Amino acid sequence: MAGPPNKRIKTISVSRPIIYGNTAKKMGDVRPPNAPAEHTHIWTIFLRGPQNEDISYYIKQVVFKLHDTYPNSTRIISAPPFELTETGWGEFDINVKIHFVEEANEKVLSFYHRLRLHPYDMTQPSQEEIKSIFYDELVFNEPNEQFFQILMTKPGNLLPSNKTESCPFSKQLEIEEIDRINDGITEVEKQIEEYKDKVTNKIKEKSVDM
Amino acid sequence: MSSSDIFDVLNIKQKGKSPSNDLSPSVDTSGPSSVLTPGSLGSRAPKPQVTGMQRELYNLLGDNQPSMIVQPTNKFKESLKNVTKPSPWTQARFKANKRLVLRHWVKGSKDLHGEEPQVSAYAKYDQHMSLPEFTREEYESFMLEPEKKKLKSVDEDKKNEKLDEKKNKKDEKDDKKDEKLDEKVDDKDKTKTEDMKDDKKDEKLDEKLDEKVGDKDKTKADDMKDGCSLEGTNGELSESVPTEQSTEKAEEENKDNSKSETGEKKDNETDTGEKKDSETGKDSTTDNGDIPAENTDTEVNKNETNTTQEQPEVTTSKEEPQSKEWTYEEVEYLFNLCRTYDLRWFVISDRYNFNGITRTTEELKNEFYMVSSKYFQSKNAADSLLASLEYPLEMELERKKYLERLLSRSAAEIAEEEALIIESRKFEMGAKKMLVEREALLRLLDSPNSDKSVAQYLTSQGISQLYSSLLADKTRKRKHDSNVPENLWMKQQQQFVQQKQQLQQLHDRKPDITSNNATTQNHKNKPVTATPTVSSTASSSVPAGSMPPPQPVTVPPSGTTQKRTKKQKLEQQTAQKRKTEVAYAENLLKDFNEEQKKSLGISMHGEKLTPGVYLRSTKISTFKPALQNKVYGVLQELKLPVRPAMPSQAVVAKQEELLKQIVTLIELKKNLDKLEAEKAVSQ
Repeated sequence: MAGPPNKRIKTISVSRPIIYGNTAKKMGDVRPPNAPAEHTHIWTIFLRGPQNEDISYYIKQVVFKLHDTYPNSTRIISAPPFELTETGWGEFDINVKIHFVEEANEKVLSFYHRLRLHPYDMTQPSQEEIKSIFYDELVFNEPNEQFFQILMTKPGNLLPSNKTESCPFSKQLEIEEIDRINDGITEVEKQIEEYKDKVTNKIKEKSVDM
Repeated sequence: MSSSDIFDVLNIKQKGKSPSNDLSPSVDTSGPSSVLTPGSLGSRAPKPQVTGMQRELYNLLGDNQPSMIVQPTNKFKESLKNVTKPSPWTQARFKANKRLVLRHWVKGSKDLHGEEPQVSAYAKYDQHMSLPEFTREEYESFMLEPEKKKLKSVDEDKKNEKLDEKKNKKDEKDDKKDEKLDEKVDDKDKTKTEDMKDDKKDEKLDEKLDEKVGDKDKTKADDMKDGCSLEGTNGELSESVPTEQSTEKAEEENKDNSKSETGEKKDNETDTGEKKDSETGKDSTTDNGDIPAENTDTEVNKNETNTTQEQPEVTTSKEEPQSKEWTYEEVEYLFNLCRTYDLRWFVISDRYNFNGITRTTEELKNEFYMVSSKYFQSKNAADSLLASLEYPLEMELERKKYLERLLSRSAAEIAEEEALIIESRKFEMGAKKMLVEREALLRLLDSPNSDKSVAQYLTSQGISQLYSSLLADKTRKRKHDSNVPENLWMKQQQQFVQQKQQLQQLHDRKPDITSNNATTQNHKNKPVTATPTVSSTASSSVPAGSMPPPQPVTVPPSGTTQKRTKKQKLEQQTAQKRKTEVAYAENLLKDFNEEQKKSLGISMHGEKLTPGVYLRSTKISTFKPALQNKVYGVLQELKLPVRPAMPSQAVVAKQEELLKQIVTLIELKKNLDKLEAEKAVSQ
């Protein structure tokens, strides 16, 4: 028996992994029509599931706020795939606003993505396609009954077990990440011990001086 | 010399001059002393009337002068119109005390002040101390048996009152005499000698002195009286005292009167002297100039007499067994001195000379206070004054000794002492500063006992103890996660899970193994993962194939509240509320096993987080800018990204752990630096 549909279920949080970012390519001779002459790159900003799974059951629409110099700088994408392709010549911050389905009764989630067009690492051979992709998780803390039911309909938190070219974000990467951080922790702990010894000695010296 | 002359001398052509003016320079050159002709002046360009200096100035400037018009303006404020008339000053007479009339300058006309001498505004300060007076019998009686003689002393009081009345009458007589004295100095001398006959001790001596100096001007003698009288006593006391003693009883009343008048008489004398000064005006200045010289003269005189008379006196005093016993005569002498000098002890001690007995100031004071306390005790045992008459002789002597020692320090000693004081102050400051710093340090280290006094850690033992406890206590909280509320809620949840398990076992209502497993697993995991972030569950990586539709089953909140202490009542209330909520959530999730939960991204958390949606990466701890930069620096050293590449729940939890450690490290570094700096400063 579900409670009132708008009542939040306390102490529960539901998370959904998402991937956002942009890809960019230099425009060759093939130029889309009506692209301004000074535009050098064609880029696509997107928001999707890690394995390109359906996320539209909880996301109603995504709004990309582009630089003010673009005509109609606020682009509303209200159906999957939530992505936008444009041309341009410069990098700027794109404001991404995620609107959730109405049942969720959640506020709009807003964050920024810095559009990347150029490879930062010049030593590497220039790639065909520039990618700036981030993994993140949407955490619905204490969702209401109705939205909870919606979220329960699909195992949205699933990740591939191994890294693939198309989808690097996987359980494997997560484990690697944890291992890396664990290494960092042990390193820091080692330093902490060192410093503790040093401080102890210093204070002992002091007390002897006194 | 005019401006045109200057132009000539400097060989400058005056430009722009009208042709008619060309003549004038030539004329000027011919006569060097010639002044500008009125014609040349008149032919100038129209200008405001210029004369004198201004005209010369304009000439020098030539025609290129700026359009400057000198207007005679009044630079200064006009003088005040309503200046009050200067009021006249008059030299008016005023009464300095009862008899002495002096003159001073006062504002206002003569008519305003009148002829009558005004009473001085300072007359009210002309007060003398009233010291007790007593006769020999009284003295003996209250010195021997102060308690018994109360009644008698009352009688004597009455006597004294009578004497006072007599005294007053005599005062009036004196006043009349004074008026006559103003007219004739000789007369006054006579009356004075008459008065003097009644005098005792120093007054008598004064008189004698006066007689010796007899020929000298009266004023000088008066001036010197104060200075010489007591010095003269050396020799003269030997004469006066015996006679005094013989006539003592007979003249007792007279004596008292005369004593009381001593001061007045003196005033009288100085009064006449002053008057003479003011009247004879011109003489006074010369006289004053002579006084020092003549003063010495008289002193020489006196000394001569002293030396002649002193010899036998000294011998007699030595013959007497220099007893420090106080006789009535000496006490009386002391009291007279006290009255004369208004208890100015240093003067009294200086002037004190009674039969060659030398007494220290302390002895005099002691005797005075002792006698007067006895006197007042005999009169009224419960007198409130008595408390103020106690004189701790020993303490005073001690005090004086210390003072003398203090004052007799050499310059080197003083310097050394000051240096020592400065040194000690330095030490104090250093210690205080160190205490403060140590306190801050301990607070930084967030020791479990940091709210206690620092003093216990000041010894080396205390410090080592503190550190062992600090190092042992790994579970202590850091500052940056102190905002996370204590996980009370987790306990509640555990309890609830336990209860639910029991219930399930009891009723065996739904023998669902998976759900039981889930709950037990949950239960086991919780105490282990007491991290600030959401507890992570088991990390099995098997994705659930099928999706069981959520079947919310309602089980009424079965947990009955356990017994709790009163202190936990409030916590209990909120916990109760949360409990029902958790129960509900538990029920919702009942049908999912861990894998399913994982795949659905569901997690339970016992914390009070604001409801709503957020990106997990935004919940990674941040710090104050300075600290944040340091943290980033450390992360860079570890070759770790500031933002984890994959901020999943487990990764973020780990990241938090790492950040916590990094902050600890940074604080330790800071402390070490501080200690080193402290050490450097102390060296």
